[in-house]
Amino acid sequence: MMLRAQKLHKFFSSNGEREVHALAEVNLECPEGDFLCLLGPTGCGKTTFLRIAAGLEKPSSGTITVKGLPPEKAIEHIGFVFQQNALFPWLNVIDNVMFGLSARNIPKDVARARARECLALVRLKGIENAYPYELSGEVQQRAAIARALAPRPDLLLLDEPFGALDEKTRKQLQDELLSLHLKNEFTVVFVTHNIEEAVYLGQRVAILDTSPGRIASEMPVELSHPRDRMSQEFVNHLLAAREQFEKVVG
Amino acid sequence: MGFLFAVITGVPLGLLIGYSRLFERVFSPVIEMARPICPIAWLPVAIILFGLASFGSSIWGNASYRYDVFDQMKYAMVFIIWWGAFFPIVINTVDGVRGVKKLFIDAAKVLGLDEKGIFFRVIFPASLPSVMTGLRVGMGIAWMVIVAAEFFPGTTSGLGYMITTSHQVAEYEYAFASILAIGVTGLAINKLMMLLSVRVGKWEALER
Repeated sequence: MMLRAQKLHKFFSSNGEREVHALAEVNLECPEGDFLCLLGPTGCGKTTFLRIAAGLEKPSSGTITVKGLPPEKAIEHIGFVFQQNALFPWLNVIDNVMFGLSARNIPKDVARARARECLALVRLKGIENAYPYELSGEVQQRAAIARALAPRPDLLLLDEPFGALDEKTRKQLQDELLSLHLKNEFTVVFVTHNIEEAVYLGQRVAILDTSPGRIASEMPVELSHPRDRMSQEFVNHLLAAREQFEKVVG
Repeated sequence: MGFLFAVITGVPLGLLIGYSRLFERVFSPVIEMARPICPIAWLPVAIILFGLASFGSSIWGNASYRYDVFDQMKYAMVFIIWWGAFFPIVINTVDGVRGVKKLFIDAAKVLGLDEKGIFFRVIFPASLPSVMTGLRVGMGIAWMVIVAAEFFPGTTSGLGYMITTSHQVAEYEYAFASILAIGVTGLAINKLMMLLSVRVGKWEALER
């Protein structure tokens, strides 16, 4: 099992007094090679779940394991793509992509070659020496994906990575992410609030309820890739997901 | 020289105070109390402590040809320049460290960096623009302190010395010339520091 969460709870206390119950009793399993979409309205705790899975937050109770290890110990197996541009602005693109490799003591020339490979995977060429602020949002996010892929993670966590992009670019990046996933067989947990995106990408869609965040329902999407957004089956799945989603939102 | 010492001591201390609560608790009160003390107030004490010894006199002795140059670096002077430049450097560095976006720290964590790596490879570079501001302010103060210190008896050279001497011999054109020279030199120093900080801080200006 790649990712397993059992009875996960997370409370946030603001000013030490009022507690917010962000996650309640979350049970989730994610086998190897899975593409799981976490779908939920804003503030349902889906980002919190992802941050816990990456070891950035500690759960208040319950357990979570990545490849059987607590996330802090499994960090070398995890790649993370943030919602906002999280490239280091003082480094150029290639140094950003190499950042995670040097932390793993990979020799510089090997790291550089692999960083170039990863940039090619996300269709970026000739911008190695550019700085993040010189790039468009799309190119920044592509570079961020390359940076997350460079250490060859087994589990890729993405937090609404395409939220800030326009429709056309988003669809393009969705397809590219899918083909990377199918080719390299890493497991993906993809957080989004966009129903169509979740149904288009996921092998499974888990819908999160809001305050407290809990898994309201899980739905498999048994359609082969590439999926046709116009096909009857796809629309059926989409409608089913929407129905579930609206139940949650109320 | 004093400025160099201020950089060497101020930047690391600032980084540590900004980074660790323990360092903040220990050093912050001391720094807040010491900061308002005018560096010139230390001059008599510094002279008692260090006398007129200088890098020239204690390293090469007064026989060397280097003596003339290095004798101008009195320990007392170095001390009060350090005092003047140290605080703006520390305070700006602390601010810089506190202003580092949490997002960058998270990004480094998920890329597998340990605490030490985060400190040196994220917190330090991310706070550099602010450190540079501290260096610029510190340099300005250091320059003011040098000139002011030269007003005091015992000095035999420098622009401050020239001003007091011109007052004694009532030839004020020299005083004005010195004042002008102080301003122009200060301007040049600031320009130089600006150039330097633009180089390290380019990303910060463009990110806004």
